Amino acid sequence: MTQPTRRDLMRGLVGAGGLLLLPVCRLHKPAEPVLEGPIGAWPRERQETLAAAADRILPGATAAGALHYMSYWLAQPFWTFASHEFEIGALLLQREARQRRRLGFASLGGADQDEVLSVMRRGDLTSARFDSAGFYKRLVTLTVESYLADPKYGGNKDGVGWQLVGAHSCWWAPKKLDRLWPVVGAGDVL
Amino acid sequence: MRLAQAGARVVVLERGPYYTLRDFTHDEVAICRRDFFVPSVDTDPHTVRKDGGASATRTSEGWIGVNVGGGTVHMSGFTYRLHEEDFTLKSRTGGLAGADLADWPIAYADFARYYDLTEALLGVSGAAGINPFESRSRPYPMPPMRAHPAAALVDEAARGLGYHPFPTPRAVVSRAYGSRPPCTYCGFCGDYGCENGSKSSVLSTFIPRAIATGRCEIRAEARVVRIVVDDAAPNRVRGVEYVDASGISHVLEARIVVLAASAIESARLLLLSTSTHHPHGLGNGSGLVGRNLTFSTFGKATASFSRAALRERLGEADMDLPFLQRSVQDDYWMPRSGLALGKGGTYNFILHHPNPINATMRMIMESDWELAGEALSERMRRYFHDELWMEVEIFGEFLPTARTYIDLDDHVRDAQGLPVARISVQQHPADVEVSRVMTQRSVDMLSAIQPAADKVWKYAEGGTTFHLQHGTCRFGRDPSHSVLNPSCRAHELDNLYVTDGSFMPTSGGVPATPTIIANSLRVADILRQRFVRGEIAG
Repeated sequence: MTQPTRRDLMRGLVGAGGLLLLPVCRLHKPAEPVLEGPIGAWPRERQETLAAAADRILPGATAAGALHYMSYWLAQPFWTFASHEFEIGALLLQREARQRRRLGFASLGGADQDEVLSVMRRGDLTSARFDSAGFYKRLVTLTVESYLADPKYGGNKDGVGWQLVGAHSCWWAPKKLDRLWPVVGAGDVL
Repeated sequence: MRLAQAGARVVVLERGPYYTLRDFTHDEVAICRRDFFVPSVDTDPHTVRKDGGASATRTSEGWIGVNVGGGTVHMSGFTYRLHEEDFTLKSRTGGLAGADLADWPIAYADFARYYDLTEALLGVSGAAGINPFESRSRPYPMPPMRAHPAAALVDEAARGLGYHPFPTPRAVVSRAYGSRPPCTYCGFCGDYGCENGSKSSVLSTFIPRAIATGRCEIRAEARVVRIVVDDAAPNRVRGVEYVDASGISHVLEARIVVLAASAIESARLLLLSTSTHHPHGLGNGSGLVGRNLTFSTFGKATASFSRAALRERLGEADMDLPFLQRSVQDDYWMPRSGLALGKGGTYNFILHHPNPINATMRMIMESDWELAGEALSERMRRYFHDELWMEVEIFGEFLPTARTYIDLDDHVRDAQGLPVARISVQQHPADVEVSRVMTQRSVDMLSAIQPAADKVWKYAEGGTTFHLQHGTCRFGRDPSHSVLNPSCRAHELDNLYVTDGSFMPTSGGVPATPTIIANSLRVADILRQRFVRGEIAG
């Protein structure tokens, strides 16, 4: 039997290390989908501001994929006009937060975040190139859409929004309904 | 369809896409919030100025359904006939200051059979003999749609106040009809295409029959930009010029041209089609093309009920059915009401549309955008799980006046470089007055329901429903007071017909869909006679 080479030793170590590493890998969550589109290119702090604003508007929105949803739609023709506006809006929320508390918007307490959003909603941050109240409405609109839209657009993760809607609403395709109503009975209200 | 059945060759040019049932999903964002049925406001806007305002703003209002089958593809299918008094409003009332009323140049008695034919060919469900304010001699082709159990509560409340509720007639099949399956009651008629084929749209009914003749061709994504008239023969149209999906221009010659692009867009096309002998627009010797535009006067009341309270009264069964299915026409015509002109309309009892994003946004907007955070989550939970919203939407008369019309916008052009339609709208005060009365009565009816609603409120009154549009090429006997003759043929042109809502001199107090289809069948009969007589060689 030949002496084990350094290479053999290295392989052995790696093998042992691999066995040790494997259970650690299994404990990690599956990776979040990469945030693509316009918001994906923003600095992290600006993304976090938008995420915090969305969560203040509708709790759980970010976990449900609000940023993915918004980033997708801000790149489509219908909403491209708002892509720049959303970045300015996030910047202004940041600036307002720093002026009040010297903290980033995402680090503010909930009541302070609400106050900053109210300022935006009332139109107080309007300038020649920015419509503060209009931005607030569009932010709310995309946040609500993200929670309740088809998950294929990046939001409503695992159908969390549709669980809120509940089983008695018939918004899903009729093929999934297990009821049909073709027969009219004697006492039916017609 | 009728002409192809008679042996003529027919080409249908449609600006929009040719959707099939497979294209119809319940994706609220794609279908309702992203221009699925109407063009983009960036490439194909209208402009609108309201209440005498000077400048017109870009809007997508006034588009109906830009697709093969038009608005019938995404309608809810509320299918009411006009009443006799709609045909003779001017002579019955003597007119009204500020309104350009005109009688229809045909008799209601002659028109009624086309309503019968429309109901049979489309497939309309309803119950005859219950609404005392409509006159009809035939039953509906099939029974009415199933109603939510709360309809019994509406009946009780409305009758208690002296009204006569009746099951809402629908262009939706309640039974298997021909090859089409019955409705599955998903509740997504309004604003969506019906993937089941149960909604009786033109796309699901007339189009397949026309194609089956082998003599009808549908050319979709073909945008007509001009109706062509030769200077040497100014009393005839030669054909149309259209642009296809690749942007290539074609001229299609035809012996007859029938225009049905909606009251706004048909008038716009005529105004754009100027020529030496038609300098003010094709067929516009009267100056009335685009004038006397009417819409429908909108009002709505909403009531929020506790589902638990309703279940206590009604039980558990069928509480997920989506349609309330009740209408009231006691106020269709109120000649002794003391109002300036008591021309009212129809109360239509509905449940709130199932669209979850729309329902949530409505609650936020009604709070002036303040509803947010945990309060919003909680409000959504209560709305979707604990509440049932009933609504009364009103289809009210919209009187023709000099202040509501379309013309060509000098400043805004579409993607083809053509001036867009500019909508000017200012309602006659009589319409607003009637709408206030009807909206209050809607509140009263909802408030009379037992168990009592948690809240009843006015959502809108005196508004304008832009996608119900008529009047811009009104028909009549006198060429100086109408654009079309009683056959809906342009007075000045031997072979140009207009068969959308443009022909209607007055709007009536109902959505005009079955009236437009009935009139199209009437005009089709006239054209068939011309064809059979050899005036139109195939």
